[in-house]
Amino acid sequence: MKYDENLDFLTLFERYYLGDMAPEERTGFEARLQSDPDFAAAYASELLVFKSIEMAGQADFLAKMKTIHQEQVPVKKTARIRRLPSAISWAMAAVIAALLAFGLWWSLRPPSPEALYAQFYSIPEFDTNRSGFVPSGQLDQAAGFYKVKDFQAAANVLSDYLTSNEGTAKDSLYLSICWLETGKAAQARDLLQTLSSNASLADQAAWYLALSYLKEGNTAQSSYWLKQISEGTLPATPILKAKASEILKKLG
Amino acid sequence: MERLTDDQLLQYLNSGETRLQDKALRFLYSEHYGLIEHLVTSNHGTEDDAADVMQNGMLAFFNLAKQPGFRLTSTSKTFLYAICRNQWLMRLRKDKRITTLEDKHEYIPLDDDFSTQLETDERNQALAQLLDQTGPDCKRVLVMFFFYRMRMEQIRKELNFASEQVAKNKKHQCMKRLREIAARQPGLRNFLQ
Repeated sequence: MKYDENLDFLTLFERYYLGDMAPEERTGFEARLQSDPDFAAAYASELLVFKSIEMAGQADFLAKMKTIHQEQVPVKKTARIRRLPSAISWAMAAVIAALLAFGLWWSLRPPSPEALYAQFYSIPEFDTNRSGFVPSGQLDQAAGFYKVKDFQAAANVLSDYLTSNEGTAKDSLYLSICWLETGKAAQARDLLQTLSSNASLADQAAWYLALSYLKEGNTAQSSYWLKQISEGTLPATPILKAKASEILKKLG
Repeated sequence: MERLTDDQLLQYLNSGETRLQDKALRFLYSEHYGLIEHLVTSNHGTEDDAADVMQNGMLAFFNLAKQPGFRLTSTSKTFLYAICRNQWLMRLRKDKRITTLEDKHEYIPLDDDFSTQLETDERNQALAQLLDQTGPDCKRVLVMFFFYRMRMEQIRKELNFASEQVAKNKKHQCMKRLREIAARQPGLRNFLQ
């Protein structure tokens, strides 16, 4: 017999599941579940159906509980709050609205050149490794000062070193950074401009030129050098190109 | 809100009438939410945790109350407290490895069968979506009959069926449809083992 298509058995399964059986009938039903595998399999199929209804019912019940919670709990809490006179409430609301509007305007306004400089400027690491070249004590000394941010001392040593040695473009870049850091922007820019024609450091030189102008609020000059990087006029790394484009976009 | 005795509370929950069940559930919630919130927030929980525990506790209470022959062996307050306490302790054990609670009310231990039932229920969530496939009308009829234990006459009234027989036929059709949908997903049987 196919239990799962027989209405009498389906009714029996339903009564057992809902607990609508007298104890003796229930015992008999459970005994048959143990002894008749087809009967047990048919009940298992029907149990899946009952369980799916049960679970959907539980979800419905929990949604109902959430509604009751929202209706009851906020009422208790707001009841504890003393109401302010309406004129004061309106004044406070106006102040809050004004503050929110100011905050929104503040967060959406374009960033100042100084802010962009602070966001993007960082000094390059001093690299003393030179291929086919034995670093001199002077270079190590300059690197030491540079590392502890004593840029004046680093500039002095680097200047002496570059006067008496051939040096590399990198050393000139570090010297220009030292000058930027010690307020000798014009001197630094002259050197950076020379470096901008050096293929290996052109993008770095243009980058620091742009940032030095940005620091002073000279957005025209800054944009000029940033475009040299972003538009590929100078050979530049993808990271630097992206950064230059980002600043240009923020400058509008 | 009308005050209910524990006997009235059980009678209303088992009435199979939406209006009376609602009244009982609202009474139980408003009377005891404060106690459960105090229990949870004094034991590493937030107000949101308290709301979750209370709502799941209410579900467990309702599921037990609708079982034939169910009798309260303590007050409804003590019983609900024990259910919620058990749920919160289970969650603390699982999430925060905390195994003790500072009690805020008399506590009666629950038997192991009941704790197991709560855990098993969590595994069955996927089954709930099976009924959705029968459509909203079938879902309402079957949930009213099997979950809220409403009688067919009551379902007829609530859903405006022409007669009780029409309501019965609808239930029969919906069950048939649900069986067909369930038969197409044999993997779901694993949830019952």
